Amino acid sequence: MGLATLKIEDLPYYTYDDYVKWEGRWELIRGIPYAMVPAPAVKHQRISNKIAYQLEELLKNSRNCNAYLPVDWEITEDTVVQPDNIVVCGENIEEEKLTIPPVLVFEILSPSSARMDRLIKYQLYQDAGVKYYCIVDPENQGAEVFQLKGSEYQEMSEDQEGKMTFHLGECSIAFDFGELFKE
Amino acid sequence: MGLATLKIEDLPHYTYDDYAKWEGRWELINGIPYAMAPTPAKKHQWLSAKIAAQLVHLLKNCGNCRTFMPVDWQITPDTVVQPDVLVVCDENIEGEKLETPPVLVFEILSPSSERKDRVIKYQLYQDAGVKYYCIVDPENQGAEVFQLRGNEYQEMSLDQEGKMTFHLGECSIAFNFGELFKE
Repeated sequence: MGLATLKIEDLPYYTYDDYVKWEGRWELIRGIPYAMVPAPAVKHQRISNKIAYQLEELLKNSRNCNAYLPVDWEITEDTVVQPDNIVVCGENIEEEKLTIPPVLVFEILSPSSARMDRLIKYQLYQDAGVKYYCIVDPENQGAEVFQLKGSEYQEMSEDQEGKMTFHLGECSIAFDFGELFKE
Repeated sequence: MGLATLKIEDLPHYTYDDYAKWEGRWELINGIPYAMAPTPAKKHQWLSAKIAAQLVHLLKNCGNCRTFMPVDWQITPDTVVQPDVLVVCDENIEGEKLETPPVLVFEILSPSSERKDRVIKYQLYQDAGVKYYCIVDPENQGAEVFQLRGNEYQEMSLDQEGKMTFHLGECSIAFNFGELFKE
């Protein structure tokens, strides 16, 4: 008993207005729903917290830039994502959602998210103009950092102290990735 | 700023085990999530109730066939739907999901579900071997009834009293569609 193949026109197509009504943890890419892991693993949460803490410290004296934990970022009407950690400069987030690209995005890998983070989101963030995209790998205790040069990402290396300098417009911060994996 | 098109290999592909963890009302077709209306409109619920009530009554002496509304029906590991009302025969009522095809399925149209019900589910139910598929239209106060002949659906006409006879194996029932739209 074969099942008919799904045709392109049969794919679901949702927008932000549909997305906000959904229960549970979802992202929306080109109109298609992607389920997020129900409650990210403890290790994932700890790293996210450490990133947030370090960013708060580093941005203390910045007037223009703020760090956020997951918020709805509406890239286009049919694409809404929730990056693990972000820095946004120049604008306060409207109550429900962000509508301009962050300058810095962190995604923390989980076993089920590798393809999403390394390929789909890599492309999305590159096209949306996110200046710095960091993929943090808890398993291997490392991070890959990409910087937008022109319209493509190029991988950056940490300096001798294991830090990475991010130029966020009016200020620059030196982020210590080693800190994330210390217990 | 163009966004990269979603490639086939980037489409999500979930199975029943993922589906079972989601919050909210969803269906799963060929691995892709389809959102259901959060809580169907009152008219929809009222029709659902009337259909089920009539079926329960008609099936009282049809020992082996039962009505469910709605229930998870797993057609394949990556396709799980929740028809509005269905009749299944020779099935025990233990467990959370149905894995054999119902003999009779009702879907009640809503503005957002038309393509899904008339095209996608029509195909799914035809391929899965559902003997009778009824699409009920609250707006136009009518119903289209399809019967499987060989492996394709053919439309059936209601008799002069607005009834349709369904042969469910060991018993036959005369379902009154006109009743559904009386207040």
